[in-house]
Amino acid sequence: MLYIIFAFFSGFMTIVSMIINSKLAMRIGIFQGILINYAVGLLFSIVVLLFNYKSIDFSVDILYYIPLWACLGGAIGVICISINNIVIPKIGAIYSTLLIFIGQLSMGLAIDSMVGNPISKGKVIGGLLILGGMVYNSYIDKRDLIDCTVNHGAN
Amino acid sequence: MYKSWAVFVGILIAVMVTCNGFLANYVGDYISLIIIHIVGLATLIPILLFKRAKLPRLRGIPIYLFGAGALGVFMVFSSNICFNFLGVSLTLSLILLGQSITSCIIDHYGLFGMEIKRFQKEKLFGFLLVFTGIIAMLIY
Repeated sequence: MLYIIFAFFSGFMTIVSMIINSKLAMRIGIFQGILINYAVGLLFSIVVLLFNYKSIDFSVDILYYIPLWACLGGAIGVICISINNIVIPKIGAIYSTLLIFIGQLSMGLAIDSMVGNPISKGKVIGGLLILGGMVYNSYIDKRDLIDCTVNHGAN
Repeated sequence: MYKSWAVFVGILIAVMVTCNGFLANYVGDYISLIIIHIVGLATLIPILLFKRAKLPRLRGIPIYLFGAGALGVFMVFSSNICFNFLGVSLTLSLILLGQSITSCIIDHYGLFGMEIKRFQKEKLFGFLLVFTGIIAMLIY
């Protein structure tokens, strides 16, 4: 249950940080903004580490055993942000959220089955229901958007 | 064309959550945060050099605008933990639910200086569907 709340809460934080990022990008530029984010993030993770140093059982030897691909998460994150900066302005935030989710869900199901959580009926049906709900809500958003512009045009 | 790129970003995000989750298994939750941020910076700096971007001037920027990096640390931390207990698809679905509810709240009250857009009651039906979907994922 704790993890469910964690994941939900990080969705909340994603939106807040998106808003902050867009404001920061307006002031200093998109990539400069991301640079600040990662630098602040690094500092903050060091602070977190220092507070928890007693609980850490780490030896440099481990670094030799890690497969290279496991270290690439940070790089993939930067690539995602860069593509997003091009794509989202072109197709709109509502539509891109939907499309991104389709990618996430299908790849997520594939990876889950690879790491030993077989694709269950419930996961597929659940995913489709989520998608259905999102499509419905984005349809309402879009309709309002059109209503707004039509009304403004009439005035 | 741009549409397929958006789907591609989604695929990348799922891969990223997996990489980070595995890394956290190998080196622990806290060290993994540091490695992820260093690798991110190492990717970003060549991009900045390639684009010949100017160094940002930080004077006069309100301090809260620096907060997103700290939020990011928490986001990576929580997705690493959730990856191990919930798997990729459920974690990402829950994050998505959190995102859509947050954006509705922010729009409804016009928080963070955003334009006020009142919540449409019809959207409750959509949220009901999303919620049922997540329950279905959890139960089966």
